[in-house]
Amino acid sequence: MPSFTERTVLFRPRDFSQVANNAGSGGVVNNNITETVNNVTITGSIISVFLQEFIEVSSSTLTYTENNGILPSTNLGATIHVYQNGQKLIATQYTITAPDTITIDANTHYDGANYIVFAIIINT
Amino acid sequence: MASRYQTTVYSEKSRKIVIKIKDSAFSGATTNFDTVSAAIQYDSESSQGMERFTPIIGSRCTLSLIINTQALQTLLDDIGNAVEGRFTLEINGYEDDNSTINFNWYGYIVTDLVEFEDVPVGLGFIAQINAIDGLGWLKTLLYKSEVGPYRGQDTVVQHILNCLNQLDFVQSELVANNLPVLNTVFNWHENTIAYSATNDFSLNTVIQHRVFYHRDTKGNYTYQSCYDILKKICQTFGARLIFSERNYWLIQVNEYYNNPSYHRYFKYEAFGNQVSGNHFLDFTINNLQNDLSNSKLLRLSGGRWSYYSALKNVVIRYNHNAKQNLLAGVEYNYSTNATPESVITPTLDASNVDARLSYTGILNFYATVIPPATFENYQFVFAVKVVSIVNSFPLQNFIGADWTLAGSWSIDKGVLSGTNVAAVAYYTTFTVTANKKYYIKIRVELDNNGTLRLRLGGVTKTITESGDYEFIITATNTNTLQLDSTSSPGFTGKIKQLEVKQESKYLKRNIIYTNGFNFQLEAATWENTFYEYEFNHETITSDNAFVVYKTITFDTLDIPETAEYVWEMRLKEMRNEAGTIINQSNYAISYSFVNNYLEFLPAGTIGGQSDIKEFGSDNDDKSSVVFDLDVFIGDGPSATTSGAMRVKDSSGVFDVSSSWDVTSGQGFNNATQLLVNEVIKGQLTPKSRMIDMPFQNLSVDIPYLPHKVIDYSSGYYVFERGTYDLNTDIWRGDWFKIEY
Repeated sequence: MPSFTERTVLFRPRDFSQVANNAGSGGVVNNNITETVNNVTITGSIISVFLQEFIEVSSSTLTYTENNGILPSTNLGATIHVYQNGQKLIATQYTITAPDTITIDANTHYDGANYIVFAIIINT
Repeated sequence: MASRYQTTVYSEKSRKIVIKIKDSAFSGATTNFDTVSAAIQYDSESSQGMERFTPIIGSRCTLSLIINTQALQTLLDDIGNAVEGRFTLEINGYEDDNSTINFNWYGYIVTDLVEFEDVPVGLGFIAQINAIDGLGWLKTLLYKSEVGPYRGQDTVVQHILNCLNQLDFVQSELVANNLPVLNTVFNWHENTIAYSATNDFSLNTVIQHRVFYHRDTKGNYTYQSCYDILKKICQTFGARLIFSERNYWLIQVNEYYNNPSYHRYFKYEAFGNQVSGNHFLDFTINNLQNDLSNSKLLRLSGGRWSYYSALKNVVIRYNHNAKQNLLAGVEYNYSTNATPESVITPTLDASNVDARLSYTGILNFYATVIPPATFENYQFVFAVKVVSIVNSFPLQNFIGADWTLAGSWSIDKGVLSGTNVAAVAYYTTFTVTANKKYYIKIRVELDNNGTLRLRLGGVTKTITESGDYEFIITATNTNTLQLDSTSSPGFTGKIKQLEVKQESKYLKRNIIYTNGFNFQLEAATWENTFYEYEFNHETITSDNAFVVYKTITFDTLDIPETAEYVWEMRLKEMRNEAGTIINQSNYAISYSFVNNYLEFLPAGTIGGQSDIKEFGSDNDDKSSVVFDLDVFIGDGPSATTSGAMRVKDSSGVFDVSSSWDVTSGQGFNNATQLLVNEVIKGQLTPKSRMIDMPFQNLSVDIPYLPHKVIDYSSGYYVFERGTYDLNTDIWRGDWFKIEY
């Protein structure tokens, strides 16, 4: 008696026979986009860079007035650079007091020195 | 459609045959012509391995007539220059009494197949004209309503009739004479419903129209031809469609082996109504070469015998295309913010508790302050309306008890009809709530120049053309749905479908601002009153800040009920840090949600999705021929699937089918697997076939017709193709032996 055997049912995607971006359902927006960069915001002013010079100062306390007197508040080592007579000070040579005060270490400061404060503001 | 020319001839077996050339632009007395020969040729498309399950067998008639008068020459010229469809051919074959019509044939005369000799009319010459039957004509007709795609669903029978009803002669010869248009021999039955021989599942199974057209990402529709629709339906059920005797036949091929000498069939009129009563037919015509006095057919010399090889395997892929983008071609932007496009999904199946919708799209936006207003930091709050819609009243197979009808409105055979309507018809128990949205689908056939008014909740829609319509109406008062006409003349026509739905459960997730731009996301819920799913973005601190390419993606909560769902996206509000809603008129605002992708996840997971289910069966013995087919209609996998069949349960509700069997089958199985098994079981070994075999009718009253099988030597031979010579009453064609 002739007979036959049923196969196991296969589940296939639509494009199984083609070479295509078969990224699966749900997340496929466009098969032509293979990489998506999320949440990039470009505004022209999202990153602001400020520079303020303090010439022949007679006090170790510098009051920052750029950016409406607001210094960066996070990641200070990277976002604030303080230079004395052209030489960058290391982090232990000054302290930051929010929002606008930079106090040079007493062992570093001397009256008549020139300072440059360089700040990067990232708006969020 | 009047007969312009007519002839009466008699075959070798003394069968009276009347041939009419009909002209839709002619009125007057019928003139006679003489014919030399007339033959009907049936053809079927098939490829190796698939011959036995050819879905459509079309036919053409070749008629040779003598042209010996100027009037006949004019006829020829008219045929040659006519718009196709104007001239039709009708053939009536009679029984021995010369008055009872035994079979008919109808076809459209095709102008490019008209040929005649280069001889003066005075001498007379022979011209040959060809007509193709309605099935061939359907290749040129798109399966759509006059104003767009068909909406909703129809029974298998009604889908077929939607196609056949587009043929002129179906209307003029069958419908006008209250004759059945379609007969079915259909014996599959669905598992959830107790088997009954009187239950025709081609009538009790519905298919969504959505599976038969494509809407591209620009909103354009691509339709299939009526021929392709018929082909796909036949292929799904292992059936064939053929015009034979006096109407069309839908026959499941394997039923030819299921007691064909006394087999039940069902009759249907043009509107899909089943003709009552039990109908049985002897589908066999015997060929007893050694007992011709009892034989209906005489087999002549010249034919050949052959075999179809055994099938190695049968593979059928059910293309259910679950991974479909429900927002294809849809964009939301600020210019349409007040009236965002309402996308209505297919019915989403909530039977799996994890079923949900998954959305991904790209948001771009910016805002420019308009002086004298001054810029202030802001956040946009966007809102997505996700709401299920359920029946206000169900899809109508119109029942008189449900409706209040005045004037000429009437309900007959499930159709609401009116003639020069001047009064109102309304669904008696329907209550409208002001400010709620109602979603209406209606199929209207207009038979005059009148117009139909559909009114609901203070909103009026006027229908001026036949077709399927979808309306979304926001009720402004509580006036119920009313159908009437104020045109002159009043509406005359039929309303064949009507469905009204209303909003049910809304997805809610609010954003609650606590202090400045600090906010909390409220827990998401489904609610019975209007809410939206809200989301916001980071604070924008600069005027003209262009925010681009922000991917928004989220899944909804598990859907609360099996229903269609509506999806809309909009900008709800623009907030400042003080918590005040900014007046949007102070800004030039632009936003867009593009590349929108909304997918239904019936099992709640991406991994559970597929587009194709491939079914197969292998012959346990060696062989070499393969049967390979794609189908687009089947069981599920979910109620959302466009091609999912639904069957009518005992309460009249259409449920998604799950498994099927035939009367004496091998147990319940997925419809596509059942098809696989039905195909392979009849060709596990080589099958005998006749090629170019000539048979002459011996009985004038019971001639061979192609919906029948030849009973020869204890075997049933099923028609594949062939020619019926009306002069000699001889068939010459191919038949294969059916057995399993």
